[in-house]
Amino acid sequence: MIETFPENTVLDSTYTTFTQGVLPTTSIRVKIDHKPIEYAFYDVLDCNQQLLTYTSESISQLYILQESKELSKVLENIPDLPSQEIDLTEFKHYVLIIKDQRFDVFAAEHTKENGFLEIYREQTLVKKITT
Amino acid sequence: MKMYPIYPHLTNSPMGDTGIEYYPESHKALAIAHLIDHNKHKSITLGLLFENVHSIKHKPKNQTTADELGCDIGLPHFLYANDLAEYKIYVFHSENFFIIVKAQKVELIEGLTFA
Repeated sequence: MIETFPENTVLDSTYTTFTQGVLPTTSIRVKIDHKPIEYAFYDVLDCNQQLLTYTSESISQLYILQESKELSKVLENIPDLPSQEIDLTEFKHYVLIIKDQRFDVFAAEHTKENGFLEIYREQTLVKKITT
Repeated sequence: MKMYPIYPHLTNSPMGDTGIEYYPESHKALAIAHLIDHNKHKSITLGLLFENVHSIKHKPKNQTTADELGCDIGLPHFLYANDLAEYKIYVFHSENFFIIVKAQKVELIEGLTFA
């Protein structure tokens, strides 16, 4: 277990970048006690986001799934990236649950930062079409 | 599941960078990509606005995943979709990854930049 979130935690947005020659980065932005917190996952080999059935007993949390069969399967199919060395032992199966949203992120590492690194929403048009 | 290109005039540009942002409150997701527009004979930056998004995944581009998705690993075009009744499976791609969005609708958006 890395972290359990308080009841008032909400998912704000997610962002994934795909840049040539390197593995993707996925950011999951949440508001905890109304404060913006961004969890960034680096070298993301595979990522699934899905809706769960939310119940009052659901716990919002971030943890690393030990002995993950899914991670073993993901590591069998890594992309060929000549410009990036990949150390398979670094990868973990992160699970992040915020209310009815579950993220399974297969990544090498993660960080937690205060504030959101906004990229798309700095554009006025993006704010207009995505709300 | 058979996928078909829904914007046949759009292909990935050699600089195949892309990104996708998801907004749970509105159930929308926005992807921005550098593409080649074969009608205009030039490279452009376009947005893909997905509405009523159910799920988003990304997976390494390999034959196994291509077979599961029902698309060609070569993928000459940019965006593919299948024909499910309520939700569609949309697939677009970077150099090494498939990005798979289950949503009800997609719309092309001009006038965006890729930061």
